[in-house]
Amino acid sequence: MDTLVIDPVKMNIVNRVAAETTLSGAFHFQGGLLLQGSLNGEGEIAGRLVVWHDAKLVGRFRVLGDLYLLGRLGDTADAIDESTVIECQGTAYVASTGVSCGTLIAARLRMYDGAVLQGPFRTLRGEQSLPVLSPT
Amino acid sequence: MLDAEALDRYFTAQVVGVAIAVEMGPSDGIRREPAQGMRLHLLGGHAELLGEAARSLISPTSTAAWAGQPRSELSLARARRRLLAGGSLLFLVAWSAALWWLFRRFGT
Repeated sequence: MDTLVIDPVKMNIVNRVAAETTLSGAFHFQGGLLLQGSLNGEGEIAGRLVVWHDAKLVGRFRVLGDLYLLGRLGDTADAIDESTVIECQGTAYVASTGVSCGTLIAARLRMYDGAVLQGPFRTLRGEQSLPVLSPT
Repeated sequence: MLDAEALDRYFTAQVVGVAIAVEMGPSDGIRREPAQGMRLHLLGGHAELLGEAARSLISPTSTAAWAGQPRSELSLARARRRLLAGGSLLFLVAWSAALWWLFRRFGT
């Protein structure tokens, strides 16, 4: 069993959306975010994002650090949520309690036994990816 | 004088919370390793684990060393035990060598 230590000070998680809280709109979080409620809309998280158990992230968001998914991405129960696209520039860790119904784009993906990936996953092509040779 | 960084740390700890450990789920046995270059990859992973075990030995709070990186506590505890056993063995060998040298140098 893998254990993740979330140290907000060390991981620079300086923002928090508390449980039972719902935010809608356009957001730009400077630093990491601990999401324990619901966040709808679009925006950017300039740091790590932790989607806690029972938390929900819906919309188009870009995460500039790692993503730890213990809750839910997308608004639908089982079907694919077309409106949710999460781009993660680091590693996306999907815990055994994590459910992703939206499109997940990440540089690296690590899934744990029991994690649910309903929506599509795409690898983020970074500067470190190998160049594609021209056929000519 | 106001220390802005200390104030930030204080509010982060108060508002976001203190360090907490969460279980990510079982990972042993679900890892898929490519056959090519597997040995090098595993060696790298082993060295990284030993490094984290060493850091966790000297860290004030043992969990702070690997914050943000999901780790198997079982593997880490095993690596820590190996590190301690290896260190003790190395110390004993060095101590014996020093004694042997002293006896040879100043003995009758």
